[in-house]
Amino acid sequence: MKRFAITAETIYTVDKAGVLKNGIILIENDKITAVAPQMTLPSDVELIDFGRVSLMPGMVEAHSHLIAHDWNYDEDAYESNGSGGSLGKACSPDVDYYYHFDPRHRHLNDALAGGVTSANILPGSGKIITGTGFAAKMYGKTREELVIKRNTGVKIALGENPKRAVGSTGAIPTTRMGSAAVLRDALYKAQEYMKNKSKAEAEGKDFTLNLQLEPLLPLLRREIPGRIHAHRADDMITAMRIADEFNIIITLEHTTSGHLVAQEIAKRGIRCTLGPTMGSRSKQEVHAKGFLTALALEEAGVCFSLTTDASVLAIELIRLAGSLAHREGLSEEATLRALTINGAIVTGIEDRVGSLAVGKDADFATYDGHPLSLRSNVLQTWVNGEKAWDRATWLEPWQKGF
Amino acid sequence: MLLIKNARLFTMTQGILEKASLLIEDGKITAIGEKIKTPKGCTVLDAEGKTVTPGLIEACGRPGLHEETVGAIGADEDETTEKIGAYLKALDGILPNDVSFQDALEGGVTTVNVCPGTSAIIAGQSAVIHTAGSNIIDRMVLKEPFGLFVNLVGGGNPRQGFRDRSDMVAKLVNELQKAKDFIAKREKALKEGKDVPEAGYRLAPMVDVIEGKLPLIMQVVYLHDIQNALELAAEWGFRLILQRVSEGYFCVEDLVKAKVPLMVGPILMNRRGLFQTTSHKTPGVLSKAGLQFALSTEHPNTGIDHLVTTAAIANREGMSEEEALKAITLYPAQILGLDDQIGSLEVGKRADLVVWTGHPFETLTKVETVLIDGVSVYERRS
Amino acid sequence: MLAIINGTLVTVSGPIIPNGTVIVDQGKIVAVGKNLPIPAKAEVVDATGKFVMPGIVEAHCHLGVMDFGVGEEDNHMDADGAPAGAGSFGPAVTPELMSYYAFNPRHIQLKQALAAGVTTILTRPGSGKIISGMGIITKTYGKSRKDMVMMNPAEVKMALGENPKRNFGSKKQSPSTRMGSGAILRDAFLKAKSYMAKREKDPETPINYQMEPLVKVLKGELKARIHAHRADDIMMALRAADEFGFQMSIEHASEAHIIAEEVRKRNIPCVLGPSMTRTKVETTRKDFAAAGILEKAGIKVCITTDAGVVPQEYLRTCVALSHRAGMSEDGAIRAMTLTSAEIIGVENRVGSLDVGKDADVLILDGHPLELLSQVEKVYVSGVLAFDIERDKEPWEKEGV
Repeated sequence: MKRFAITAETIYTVDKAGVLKNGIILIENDKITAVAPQMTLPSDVELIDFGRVSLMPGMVEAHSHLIAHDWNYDEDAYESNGSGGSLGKACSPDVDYYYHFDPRHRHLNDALAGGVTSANILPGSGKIITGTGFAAKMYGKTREELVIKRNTGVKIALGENPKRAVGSTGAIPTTRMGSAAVLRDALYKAQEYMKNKSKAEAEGKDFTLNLQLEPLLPLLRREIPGRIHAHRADDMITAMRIADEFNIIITLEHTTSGHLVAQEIAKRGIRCTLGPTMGSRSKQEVHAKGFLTALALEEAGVCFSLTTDASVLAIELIRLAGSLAHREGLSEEATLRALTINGAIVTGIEDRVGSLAVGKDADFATYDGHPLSLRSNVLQTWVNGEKAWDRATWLEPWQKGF
Repeated sequence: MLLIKNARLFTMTQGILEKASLLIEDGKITAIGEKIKTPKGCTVLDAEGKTVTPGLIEACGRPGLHEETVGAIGADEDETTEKIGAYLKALDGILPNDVSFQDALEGGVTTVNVCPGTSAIIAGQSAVIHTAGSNIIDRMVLKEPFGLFVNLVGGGNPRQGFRDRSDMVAKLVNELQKAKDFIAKREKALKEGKDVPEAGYRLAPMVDVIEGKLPLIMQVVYLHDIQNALELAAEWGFRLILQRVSEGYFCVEDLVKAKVPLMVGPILMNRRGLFQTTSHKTPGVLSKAGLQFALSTEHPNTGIDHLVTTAAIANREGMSEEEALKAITLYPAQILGLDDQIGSLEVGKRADLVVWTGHPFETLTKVETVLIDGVSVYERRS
Repeated sequence: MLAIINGTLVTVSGPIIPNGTVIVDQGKIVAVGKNLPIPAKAEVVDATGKFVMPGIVEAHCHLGVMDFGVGEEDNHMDADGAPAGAGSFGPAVTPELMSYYAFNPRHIQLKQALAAGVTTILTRPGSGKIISGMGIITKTYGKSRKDMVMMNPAEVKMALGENPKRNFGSKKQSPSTRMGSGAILRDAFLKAKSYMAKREKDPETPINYQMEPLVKVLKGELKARIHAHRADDIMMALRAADEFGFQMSIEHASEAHIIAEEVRKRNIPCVLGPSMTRTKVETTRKDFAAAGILEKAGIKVCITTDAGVVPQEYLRTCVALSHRAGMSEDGAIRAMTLTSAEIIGVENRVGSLDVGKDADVLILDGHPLELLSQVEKVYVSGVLAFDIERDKEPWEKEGV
């Protein structure tokens, strides 16, 4: 068993232990086993002193399209077709993004270089239902080690994207009315299917599985959330209306006009990702984007995490989003939460990552200044108690030669 | 008349003046110093604790030309069927009160070189404009045309429809040769006392290029794009400005030797397609080799309000603070040939300046006031 | 300075030298032989039990200018050409396109070629047009593109047979038949001849960038390298060469062995291959045996992979299989070194271990024509560009 301790000048635990000056964290194999302002260590435990740096949990990106989102890669699997079936062109719940995962892709290293240690990797938003996502660490030796949660939710999208992508082919939806109808239709079909399946199982009869509808059953049973991409306030209200009707758990993704419906979100306890706020206003539905939305959500008590929608923005810009949100007035404490534990909660992996607390994975990163300063750099990123990225030894392409 | 006093002035040409004053009359800076007597009837702005910089200058972006929020109907930067569009003018397509100019002011940007788009080989003529001042774009112009925007990067973006760089070079070279042929024909006519032919509005810009009156702003991403541009400029003798320069880190010596103006960026970008090879460290690498260049957002690739963020990150990743600040003020002014008017806090220059609540690169600093030609065009509401 | 000692030297230009030495200085070979004195400041590389040969020369490929699905973006296949819209020729003739501007010196396939011992390549546009452009000759390793490129332009590339017909016929443009292809080819040369005459008469005639490369071919300054598989397509090319008097090579030459005498009497070299695949009707009669038949008929022949149609690493394999099918051992080794260099025109610099030539040297752990032999070290202009111990494959490195 590998046992060692770490210390640094300023440790942001993002947990009840708060901010520790020269605190100590004990790590055994890949887990944190103790966190304290001071500790007497047994003689066999090595203490790694990172020095005059700040140290915080590895950041958790709760909404990304890593690996899939790449014109120059051999697959651009951003919108897969799915098996095609009774749900029509706008729904492919049977597309499982796990199968697209290439652990050698440079995006994983980009994430580590930016201090991000875990990410929720989702299908795109070019349909009403695009498939299921998964959560992965950004460092590990095998795919099994990297993937920490299969099936983090069913990705659903409202607003302009499905209308544009599907409607332009002459299939429903071309309007927001149609989008809502398509989503309800899929859920009704899934409910019907679930009823028939239980009945057949109870009567011991033969039953043919419908692979398109199967992935929607855990959603109906509230085992996994529907992750609903919505920018505009009316799309978010539609999402909440349908969630109420079918009694399913949802998250809201992007939440661009969230400041207009913050109370509705808060009273349902819906978790959100917010962003990418740094990009341009590329479409009508994002006209209201701004970091002030973060303040409104925080004030209303909504649990939200900041997102880059990688690679719409490069994943390492997540910390910059934090700096800019903080500049707009989001408190330091709330900003750090929005980069770490909240992303873990939104993804559903908070039992393992997102804060420096006993029992959690030893995922953290060190910085040569305040983590929210525009001028501080990531120094090292550790995952599962191992150093995964080191600024001192990382070679840029031009340093590796022509 | 306006006197700004007690401010920390980042002059860009005479260093930093702590607790100094700056006098503005008739839209120009008329005095800078520790103590300036307040003229009678002058408004006074006490900038205690604040920092004043020249208005930031975006060397290459498309605010107003690419309207925000409305999608394709407002995308006026790409005349996609005209691969050779030297006669197209950005000036004709800019919407002066587009929301992106509001962003620009919030980010302290007072001047931008608005360039046509990237789907053509020769995309059109750029216009250098202030970011506020009128509903009529012509009244915001500082220089038009400034340069001819050329895209040398092949393949990649499927939207562009090019398969191949040799194709793009062949088309560009053909236009350069046509212009050269015309000049020869014109000279012959003059010599023989015959009627002098007209170039026509389609060819005239290329004639200006050959004669050195209009520079080519060439977008280059990969190493061989940069080398293609440098070699073509050496062969044809046109004035070259390199834009984007993503893989500049691979040919630093070539860039140092070529002494060609550079517009570096965007560096805060997504990682799709052509942007795979961008690096936050590129400006630092180039700067350490002694190169002076402009940093750019190429709005809307990075929002124009993040020009200062771009400089802060460039500073973080290896560029000195002084060089990073000059890269968004003095150096773009020089590249655009407007450093007699803008780019630094100096007596005689236009009063285009920004009052910041703190150092521009500090996370919590915001833009408080923006002046263009001495007139307030933006005040932050608390 | 470098001294490679105790190796079996396959010099190509002369007999094999057992226990030989090659001395390299400032990028060139300065001495080749047995029992040579080793200069004091030379780095000594012991090649005991190894074979030493010149860097392999690939006479026909598309490395660095085409995507081949690795995420580089150019596709130097069927670009429009200049001028946009109206040109001197139709869309099937674009002699003015230069591979030089599309060549990405950092393309991963160049690194793969280097690891297989291929140090010089002629890379060029594809065969989707009757006349597609001008290729270049370059090393696969160097400090910069300027450093690597040996000849630009190296040729004018032309193509007959199925590819141009398929490319344009499917767009309902010309050519869609072999008749059309022949007409377009002749028409291009007739127009170029007429332009050449006009410029000679009146030097003030504006330069036409599309015509200039064809003028160079007519004047013998550049060779026409003509892609042709089937015998009838080869004959069309020979007919054109007869009519217009230009120098040419036959690229692929899949059925040249069936009309060997026509090729031989015109003294036209053949770049033969890729013989590993038969993907189209016109390649039905491809055979590794063709190499030996052409050699015996007295035709200058080298072997190609047409990389990346067949990955560049398999040139040595193709040559070995040609030898097995009947080509002489000496002819086979030359068919990837000196003969290739002669056919493309860089034999003064590469292709054999001779004093004065570039120090492009390979060290293999077995005879070059043995399928099991591996390339261990590759020197380009005297620099160790590849070392099997030093340069690990991705899966040989730690971690994912």
